[in-house]
Amino acid sequence: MTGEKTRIGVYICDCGLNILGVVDVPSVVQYAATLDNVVAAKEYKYMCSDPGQDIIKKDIKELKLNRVVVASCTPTLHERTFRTTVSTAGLNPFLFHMVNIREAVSWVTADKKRATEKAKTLVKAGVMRVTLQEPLEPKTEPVAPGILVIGGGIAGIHASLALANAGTKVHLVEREPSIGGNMARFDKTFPTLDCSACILTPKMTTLRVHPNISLYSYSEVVGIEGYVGNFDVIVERKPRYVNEDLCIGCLKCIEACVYKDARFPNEFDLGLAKRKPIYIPFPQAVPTKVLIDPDDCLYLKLGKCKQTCADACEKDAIDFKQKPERVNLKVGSIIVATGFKTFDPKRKPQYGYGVLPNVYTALEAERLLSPTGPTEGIPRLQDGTMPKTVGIIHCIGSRDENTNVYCSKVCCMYSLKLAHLMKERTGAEVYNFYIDMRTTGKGYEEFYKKLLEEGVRFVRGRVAELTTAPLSKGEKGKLIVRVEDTLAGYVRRIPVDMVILSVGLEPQNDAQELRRMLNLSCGKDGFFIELHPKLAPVSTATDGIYIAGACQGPKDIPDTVAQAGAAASEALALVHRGVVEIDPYVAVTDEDLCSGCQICVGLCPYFAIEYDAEKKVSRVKDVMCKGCGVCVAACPSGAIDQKHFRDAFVLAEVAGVI
Amino acid sequence: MREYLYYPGCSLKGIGGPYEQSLLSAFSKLGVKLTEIADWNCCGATAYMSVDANMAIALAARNLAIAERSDGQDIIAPCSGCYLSLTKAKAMLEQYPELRAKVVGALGQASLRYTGRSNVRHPLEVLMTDIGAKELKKLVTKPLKNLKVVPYYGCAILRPYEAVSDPHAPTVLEEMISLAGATPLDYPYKGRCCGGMLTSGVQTVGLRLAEILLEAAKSAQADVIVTTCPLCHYNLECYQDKLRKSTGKEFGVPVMYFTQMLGLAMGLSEEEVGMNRLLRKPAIAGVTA
Amino acid sequence: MDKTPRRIIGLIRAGFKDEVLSSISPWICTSCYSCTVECPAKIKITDIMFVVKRMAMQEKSYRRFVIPDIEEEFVRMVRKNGRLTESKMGIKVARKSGIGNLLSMVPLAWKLMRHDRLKLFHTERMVNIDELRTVLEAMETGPRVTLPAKPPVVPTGHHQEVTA
Repeated sequence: MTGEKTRIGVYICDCGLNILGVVDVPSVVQYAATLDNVVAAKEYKYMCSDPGQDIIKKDIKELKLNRVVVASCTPTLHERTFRTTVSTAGLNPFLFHMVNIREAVSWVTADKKRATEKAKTLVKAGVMRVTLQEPLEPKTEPVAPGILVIGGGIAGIHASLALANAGTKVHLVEREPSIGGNMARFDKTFPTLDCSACILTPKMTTLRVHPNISLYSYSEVVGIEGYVGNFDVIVERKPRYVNEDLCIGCLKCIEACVYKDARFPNEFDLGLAKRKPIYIPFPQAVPTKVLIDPDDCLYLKLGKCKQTCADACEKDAIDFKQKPERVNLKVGSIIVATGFKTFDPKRKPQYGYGVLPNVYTALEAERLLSPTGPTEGIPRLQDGTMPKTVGIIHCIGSRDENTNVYCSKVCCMYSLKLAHLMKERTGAEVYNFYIDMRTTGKGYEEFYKKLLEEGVRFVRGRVAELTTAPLSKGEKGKLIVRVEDTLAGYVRRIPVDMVILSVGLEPQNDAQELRRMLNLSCGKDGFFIELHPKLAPVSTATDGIYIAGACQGPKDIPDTVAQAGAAASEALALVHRGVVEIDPYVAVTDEDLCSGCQICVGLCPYFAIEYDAEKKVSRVKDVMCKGCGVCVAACPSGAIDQKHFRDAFVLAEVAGVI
Repeated sequence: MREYLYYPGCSLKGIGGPYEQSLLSAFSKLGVKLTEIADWNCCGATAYMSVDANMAIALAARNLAIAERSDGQDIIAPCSGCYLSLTKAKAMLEQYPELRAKVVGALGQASLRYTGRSNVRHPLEVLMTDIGAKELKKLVTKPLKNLKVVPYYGCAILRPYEAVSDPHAPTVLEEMISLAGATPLDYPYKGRCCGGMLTSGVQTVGLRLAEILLEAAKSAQADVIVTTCPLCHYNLECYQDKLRKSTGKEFGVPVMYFTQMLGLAMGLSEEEVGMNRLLRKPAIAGVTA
Repeated sequence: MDKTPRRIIGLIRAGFKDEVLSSISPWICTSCYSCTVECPAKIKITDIMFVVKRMAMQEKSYRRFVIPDIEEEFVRMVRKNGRLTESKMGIKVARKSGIGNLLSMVPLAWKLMRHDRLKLFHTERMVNIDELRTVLEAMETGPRVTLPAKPPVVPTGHHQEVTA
């Protein structure tokens, strides 16, 4: 301090009875008044309220305070509040210190005597610390103008359009050859029974032609460095072996392929249909460009082929020499919308998936029901006949301590939808085997009612097993569902022709790899974690990176779109302001003390320290420093200190406690 | 030479005689030494646990304590019921320190020490893990060609402890049947309970369970059902006449132990593996009379 | 089974003690553990069945099913000889289920004897039965150890204590 006398104001909050009920606040106030440099010590019912804040502001002006201590709740809650209060009154916000006497004192003990003693001790420590604190200015950095969206499903598409329409440049990276995600595979969507492709494709085509959106399809993010406002992203574009700029999507090459018949499992149809080595994933694919699978193509695999596809192409777009291409992008914020994958029912062998005939997952059923699918929308059994009875089994893999504990939220609704569609298309008798009916969204309960009226049969009971071992003549050749019908009170054996497994939702296979690249956290279930479950659902602990859609947790399309819009607006806010404010808790190196050992450089988790080979000292890059303090602790020469958490401040607090 | 402790259990000394006989013959042929646990007592089965859990565990634990005297040798418990009782006792003593203290104290009164270091294993798992399918196959001199075998595991070796094979998709018995040259059938009730003591207690239920298993074996056109437990063997073999009377269905399916099957495939004689002690012998081309 | 395991658990949670203790379902449970392995809430259903059986025996509130009697016979024989003699056990069981049953078992018993699977006059017994008795008697002194079973949910209705 520059010779000005320290004048500290100490304010102790009652917090109603939260603190006052345990701590003898008046005696703490009395005690505080006796401490060095304290010119005012006051008590108030709710310090964070307007009148409470006014007291502080008044005192700063009238008593010429140059330091303020508030003893109340946790800084996580109100540090920002009081810093604003103090700065409104003209005092630098970093000359304020907050002492926690609620979560750390009154909420953890009922012993009034000890609580009061501890409160006094903490206030003393706080006063000793604040005496040494220095004024600091938050740093600002310019923000790169573009936004990266990872994942081109409905969440990524909606977020991209929202951002692009706001005038921002968007880079959308999608690893499949087409955008559309899982929604593109559905036949109809609940509860309106809109055709999924019909509501999705307009958005896809709008995106394709939007001047503000750069679409990198069949591409993956392979590297991210940087920090909020300035992310350096490396996108790798996988080779289609077709020049995207020249291909017009006429599909003549596919016809001309030396393979007269499609022979390879088609990924979009989950292996239920076949494609050729040169293909387009589905008719409405965006971009409408062809690609060649190097593992299936004769020329790419063996080097021997007449290349009839290249001959057929009028635009000369086929390029067997194509190599992966890397693109460097600089963006201000990132939205992760990588979606979900379905639970693999092989993990539940009692349901016979992959072993018994005519057992399908819900997603496979969508392909069977889809007019662009392998059976042109009329689901058939493996022998080609129509099913007469269909069983839909809920909760496969979900609500199960042995696989996934959580409820996957959408399966009850999609099971009802599939029941309706199966009945409509095949006239079959449909059974839904459920535990609870979770139909919570808008119009969802009404949808359930509709199904009840349509004559779909509902059996409340978790299916024990699916078997083909008959116990009577009527069961021969059928799939038998063994289930306890809890409402009727009997264990039943119900023979069906076809079974649909309502598989739960899980994070993508490479979600963990991706999130480590982005420094994101995930929950026990593997879904990316939001900053706060109630109040910050789209931001993450990493500033500048937002999440949206099923990658954050299972959800239906309405919630996904809503979340995508939310993420877009928050990502936009950052870029729109043009600058980003950095917390000034950065580490600073004293170059005179630095011995150039570089221990700090390797330890920094944010790569924020660089070594100056000329001067042989290490230096902290302010903007990248997150103030974690690792380097401060590690430096053997004591050459690194941390602003607002200087060794002297911490030691003063400790002295106050001892 | 491999050595194991051997816990016969009450059943192998009774109607499970052929199991003991074939087990000892087969292991002897494999050059494995089996030492019967000195003065073993009943494992308690499921009956004692229904009366008094503390006692049931102490009962089983005495056998484990005696086994510990043999310096860490694994215990082979061929009867699947005994296998489960002993494994369960060991697991519960590990999980519940209060129970362990009481049992260790009680055993101490009889100068028995329990530290929980003896492992309990089933001979099916021991053969396929410690010796292995490849080695066993080399010793097969009389492959049981064209013999259609139902691999019947029963419940106790599959659940709740999964050391022998995956309870939902077990394979180890089929592997043994294959290496013996026979054909394992696709059987839907591999791990379904045979009814245990119900054929004695609530016969209507017990017989119905046996009927389901036998009916499925017949449908699969089985030549023989192979079991891993004397109680399963008893339930499947000994009530076929009674079932014929009550249901009118003729079953006529032979039931034998997997050790008998392995023994025959390794060239042991019918007498050595106790084939004549079965109520109904399977007809194995080139092997059985 | 008159009440499925799910129903038994529901009745326990609701405090319907008599209905549970008088049900035959726990007695025909063979502890095959299929339920425990399947249960998505990882409830130890088989162990609950054992507890119900023990409670029913202690409170003598079971209907006269033959199985509890068989199990008590089992325990008696084990405490007397240290091991079971199956033939003797078989006779005792058949006797309890009625003279008709006993007689119907004779052909089977004869067959088993002829195939050297049954020794009618042999008793399986341990040598040092006193050692076993010492252990069992030591277990009987002092309080019983209650094995804590994490209840699946907080029971509604009046509380049931689970003892081993």
